[in-house]
Amino acid sequence: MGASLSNTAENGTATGRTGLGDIPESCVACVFMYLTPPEICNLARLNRAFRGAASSDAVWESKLPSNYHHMLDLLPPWRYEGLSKKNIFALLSRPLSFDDDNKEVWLDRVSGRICMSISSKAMSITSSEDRRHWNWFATDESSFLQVPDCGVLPASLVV
Amino acid sequence: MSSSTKFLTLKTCDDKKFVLDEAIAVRSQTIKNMVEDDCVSNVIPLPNVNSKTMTKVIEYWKKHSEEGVSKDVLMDFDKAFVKVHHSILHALILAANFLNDKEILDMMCQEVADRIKGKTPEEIRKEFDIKNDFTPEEEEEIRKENAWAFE
Repeated sequence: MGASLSNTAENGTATGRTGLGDIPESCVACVFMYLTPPEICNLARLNRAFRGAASSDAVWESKLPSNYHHMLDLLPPWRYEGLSKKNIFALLSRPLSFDDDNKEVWLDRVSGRICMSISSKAMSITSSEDRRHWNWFATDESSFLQVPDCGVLPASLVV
Repeated sequence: MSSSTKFLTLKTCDDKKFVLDEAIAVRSQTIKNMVEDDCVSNVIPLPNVNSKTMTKVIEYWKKHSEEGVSKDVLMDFDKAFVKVHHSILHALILAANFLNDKEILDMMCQEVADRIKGKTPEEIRKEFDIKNDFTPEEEEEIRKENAWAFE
């Protein structure tokens, strides 16, 4: 342990301690307003005050988009009932399928914004039913398991 | 200044007294509530704030209460204001929290966030003198409960 600055009288507060580790949880929560979810989770490892603030509903409520309830509606209630706001964020940061598994929605872990991925099957594409132009084949590389192979398109469809 | 200017005396925990225009002192919501509730007799004690920190707070209050001061000047002032050792940053957060001055509190918290960004917990502990008060079991538990954020 090196010499600690905390004991010098000139910096002493009423409690005699001066470390960021001692600031009240509500102030740590205020610091977290300026940080991203991965940064907050990283800071939970610092000490108990930081861990407490890193689990606070007030902090995570501010990281969730205002319409996150619509995402929860895609899940059966038992999946999210009783969860803290932090655990709801964690739950929604994994892709949720809907619309016959043709669409996925999730929260971006850093920005907290809603992302959506739509399978080509769920799009309205001219001639997509016409096997002369489009072939569907299975692949593990797509989260939707099937991707279209666009054959020769009639010139009129090429924009 | 009009003749009706009222002054308040603030006393810090190290027994230093600061005489301040009431219009400036009420930037603190705590002091404002005391004034409005008529709880102010002669001296307002500030048991959680020392004179060094209070000097900084008053410096901020006065600058931000100056008449006709431009936004650019205030921005430069704020930038210089937050460039302090972390022990002063810490004292200012506690003072702003006690005085209930959201403006200073937010500014200081943003500064802490900026200093923390991109650092590992070990680096942060070292820089800010924060003690690790977890048991190895708890550390493992925390790692597990936050693993989702790093997938």
